Amino acid sequence: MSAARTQDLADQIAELCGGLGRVQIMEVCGTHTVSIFRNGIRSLLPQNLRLVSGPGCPVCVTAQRHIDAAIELAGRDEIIVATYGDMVRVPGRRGSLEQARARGARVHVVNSARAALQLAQDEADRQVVFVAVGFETTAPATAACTPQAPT
Amino acid sequence: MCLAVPGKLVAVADTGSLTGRSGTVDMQGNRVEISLALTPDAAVNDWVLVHAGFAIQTLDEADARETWEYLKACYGDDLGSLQEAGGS
Repeated sequence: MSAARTQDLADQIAELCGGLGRVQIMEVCGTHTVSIFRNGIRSLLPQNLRLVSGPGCPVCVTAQRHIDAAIELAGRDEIIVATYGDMVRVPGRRGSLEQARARGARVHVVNSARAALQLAQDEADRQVVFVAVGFETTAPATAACTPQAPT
Repeated sequence: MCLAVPGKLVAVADTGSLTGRSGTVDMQGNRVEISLALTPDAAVNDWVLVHAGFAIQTLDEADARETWEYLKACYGDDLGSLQEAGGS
């Protein structure tokens, strides 16, 4: 985003908050919290606007041991790990799936459980493990794919 | 990307998808293939909410257009990345 657009948005936020008392907004996602800190967004906000870190979503609160297990699987020759794009950036104890991929692990980003299913069909000589962590809304899609999954 | 995005169903096929009924949605000019397994009643010209490759509900046109206005306001020229992002 350009500096001009950033300033424009900051001005709009200040204007919207101008007539209000104290405004509190909860960040619903851990990536929001990280982005806000990393980009110094708090310094652009008016005094009466306070950001509160929320509980985090199912993706960014995934237990490190699950990430570690997925990384371990992705490092095995016979296995491909497929998961959503936001999941690959969540850190475990030994880094993220994205970092493991950079070191040579087989990690595929898919944008749907169906794509993981397709990958499993295309890669018949390898096992595809779909790390299905996602929002509640992804659960039905995962369930719809499960009966078709090769066993 | 934890967003569900509205699209207009422009084609429906009873087969061809690993999960049964499939469809093509138009999202601001981009055509995307999706599964209709979770919205068995969705028909051509319906608006559906698409999340992770699946239509998860139908919605009326006014709601769909309003949602797109918000998305455009938030993402501006970066809308392409919104549709391609592989998120949950």
